[in-house]
Amino acid sequence: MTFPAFWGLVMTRYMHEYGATREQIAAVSVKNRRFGERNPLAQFRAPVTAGDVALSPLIADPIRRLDCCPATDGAAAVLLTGPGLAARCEHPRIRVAGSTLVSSSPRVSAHEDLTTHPGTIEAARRAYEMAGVEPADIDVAEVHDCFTIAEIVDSEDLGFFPKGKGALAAAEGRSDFEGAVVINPSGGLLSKGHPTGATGCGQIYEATLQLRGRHPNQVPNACLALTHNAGGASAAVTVNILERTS
Amino acid sequence: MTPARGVIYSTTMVHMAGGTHAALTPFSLVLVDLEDGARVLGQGRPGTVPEIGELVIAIGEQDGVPIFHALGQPNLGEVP
Repeated sequence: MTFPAFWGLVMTRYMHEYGATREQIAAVSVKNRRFGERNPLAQFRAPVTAGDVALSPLIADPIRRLDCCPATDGAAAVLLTGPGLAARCEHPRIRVAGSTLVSSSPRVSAHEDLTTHPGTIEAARRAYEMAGVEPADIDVAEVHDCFTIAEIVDSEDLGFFPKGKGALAAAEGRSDFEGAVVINPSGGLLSKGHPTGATGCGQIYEATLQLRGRHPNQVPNACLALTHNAGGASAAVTVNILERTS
Repeated sequence: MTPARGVIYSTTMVHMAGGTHAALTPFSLVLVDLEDGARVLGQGRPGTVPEIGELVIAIGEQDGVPIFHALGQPNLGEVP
């Protein structure tokens, strides 16, 4: 089964279970493509409207082309060091406050509830505990939006919104600058593309720019950032929490 | 042996696919909760548009993938 087909199954069930509308879910694409406009590293830098999403070709109903991230070439690297060397660095210091990797079943039929992903819930729980913070403390998050519905499900599993309310939250701008947490100000995978092996480090790069106050879509006074990356049908999930310490 | 029966938990109609599946589009996938409690992924009967909650019965298989027919949908004869 292809990934669009998997997420098509997720989106069908999510809309059925929570009454989310096509337009609410398209709000993720509209937001992330708007953010991508200002990110010089994004593959797609043209904005889209909800109407554009609704008129784009069907891939795996109800997923349409503008619900999908592109497969992309790319590279990213992260330098880790101890406090001593970091103190000599001219950049503001960023601490890894929490970092987890969790695996769960790769089988689609093993998902008891397609609209929630236990790997993300558990990885987030451990990362929050490790960092000593709660979802409400996070200022900015880079989330695995391989498809629009993925950002919605992830935003709930990460604890930013109650179950079943993620689509409404996206449509109401609560994952945008006026919300409590800004999700994917890099433009996300929907704009940057998804260079599979580099995506996770790319998210850390974007989060680091935010914590250093140098992002083209800067979240004011960002102190805590979260990155969430997933592989397979959310069979392997990483969650990192980064903190500005200087 | 009694054919497997169940209820559609979710479904999608695939309109674009790569490789050997490209020629099969559009085709539907169904995630079915069987009466024995297992959940299986299968294909919807070609020519039908399955919906969540529909009662289905397995009517065959293709390359090891079960094909389900929704009982409320018209009988289209043999699976092509």
